[in-house]
Amino acid sequence: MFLESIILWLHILLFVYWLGGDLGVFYSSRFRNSPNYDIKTRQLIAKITSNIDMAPKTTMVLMIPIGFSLVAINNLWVIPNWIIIFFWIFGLAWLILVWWLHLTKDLEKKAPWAKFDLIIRYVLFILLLIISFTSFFNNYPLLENWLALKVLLFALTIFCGIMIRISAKPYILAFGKMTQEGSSPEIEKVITKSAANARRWVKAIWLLISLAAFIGIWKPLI
Amino acid sequence: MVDIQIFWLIFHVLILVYWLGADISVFYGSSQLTNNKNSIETRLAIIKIISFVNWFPNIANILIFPVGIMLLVGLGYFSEVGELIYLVWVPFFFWFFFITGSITQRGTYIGKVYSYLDTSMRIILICFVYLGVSFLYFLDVILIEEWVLLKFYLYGFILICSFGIRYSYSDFTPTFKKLIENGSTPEIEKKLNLSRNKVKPWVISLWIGLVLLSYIGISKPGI
Repeated sequence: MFLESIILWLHILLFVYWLGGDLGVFYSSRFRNSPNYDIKTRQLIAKITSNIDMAPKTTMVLMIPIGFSLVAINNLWVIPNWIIIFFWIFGLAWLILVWWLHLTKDLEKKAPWAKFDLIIRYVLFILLLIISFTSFFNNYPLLENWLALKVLLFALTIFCGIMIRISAKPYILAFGKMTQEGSSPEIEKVITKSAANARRWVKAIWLLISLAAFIGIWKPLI
Repeated sequence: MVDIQIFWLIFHVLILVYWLGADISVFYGSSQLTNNKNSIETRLAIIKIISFVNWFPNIANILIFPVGIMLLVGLGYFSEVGELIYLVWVPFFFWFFFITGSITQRGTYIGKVYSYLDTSMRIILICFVYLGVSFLYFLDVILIEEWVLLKFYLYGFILICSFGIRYSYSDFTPTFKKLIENGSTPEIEKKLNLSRNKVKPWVISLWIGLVLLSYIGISKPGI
C-alpha cells in the first residue's frame, strides 16, 4: 500500500513537471524567436529554455519505469512482475543518455548518440503501439483497455516528440546561422516557420498527456 | 458517464501542474535576473517571461482551496453544512480579483489597496486554517479526518511560505527599477542577489509543502 501510493505520487509528480515545465519552455520560446531582441538575449533565452526543457525531458523518460511499476504493483499485466527491473535499467540508462546529450557541448561527439536517442524513440513508439493494440484485441500483456488506451496516448506523445525534432531541424540550423552571421529576413522567416511547425506538435503533446491523465483518473470501462 | 468527482480530481491535479510545474521556470528564470553577466535588455526579457508564467502559480494558489473542498464534498465530507458549502467559492472569487488588481495595478495607489486586500485575505485564510479548522476538528463540530486536517495545515504552511516569499522579495522590485534606470553597479547587483538568496528557503519550503500536500491526498494516511 505504501509503495503503491509512493509510485502513484511519483507518477503524478512526473505529469506535474512535464506539463508545468513545458509552460515556461513554450512561452519563453516566443522571446527566443522574436527578432525584436538582440542575438545575445535570444541566445540566453535559448539556454534558459533548453535548461527548463530538461524537466519535461526527464519526466518523459521516467514515465516508462514509473508508469509500468504502477501497472506491475496493481497486477494489471500478465507478465511476471520482476521484469520491471529491466524497465528501470532501461529508463535510468536512457535518462543518463538524455542528460549527457544536454550537458555535452561537443556537437561532433554528440551526433551519433543523438541519432541513437532518436532510434530509441522510434523503437519505443512502435513497441508501445504494438503493446497497446495487442492489449486491446487480445488482453495481452495489459489486462485493462483503459490502460491500453493510456499506453497508446503515450506512444503518440513519443511520436509527437520525434516530429518536434524533425520540424525543429531547420530552426536549429537557422538559429545557429543567426548567431554567427546576424539576423536577416530570410533567417527569421525560417525560424518563424519552423517554430510554428514545432509548436503544433507541442500542443498535441499537451493534449495527449492531459488526456492520458484524465483516462488514468477516470479508468473507464471500454 | 463521467462522474463530476473525476472532473474535480483532474482539475485538482492540473492546479498542481500549473503551480509546482510552472514554478520551475519562475525560479530558474529568476536566477538569470540576478546574473550580472546578462545585459539589462536580456533581464527585461526574462522578467517578462517570469511575470507571465507566474500568473499560473498565483491563480493555482487561489483555486486549490475551493477545488479541494469540492473534492472533499464528493467524498462525503461537510454534509453538515449542506448546500452552503458552495459559498466557499465567494471569498476566492474576491481573492482572485484582489490578486489580479495587485499585479496589474502594481506601483499605483489602487494597486497598493489591492495588495493590502490580498494580504488581508491571506491572513484570514491562515487564521481560518489553523484556528477555525482546528476548532471544527477538536470540538467535533463537523467530521474532519486526520489526513484532511493535515492537508489544511499544510495549506496554511504554504500560505505562510508565500508571505515569506513576498516579504523577502519586497526589495527586489525597487532595486530592479534602479538597475533599469541607472545601469548595473556592484551595490545594485549585491542587493538583487541578497533578495534572491533570502527568497530561496521560502520557495523550497513552499515546494516541499506542495509535494507533501499531494502525497497526503494520494495516500490518505489513517484511512
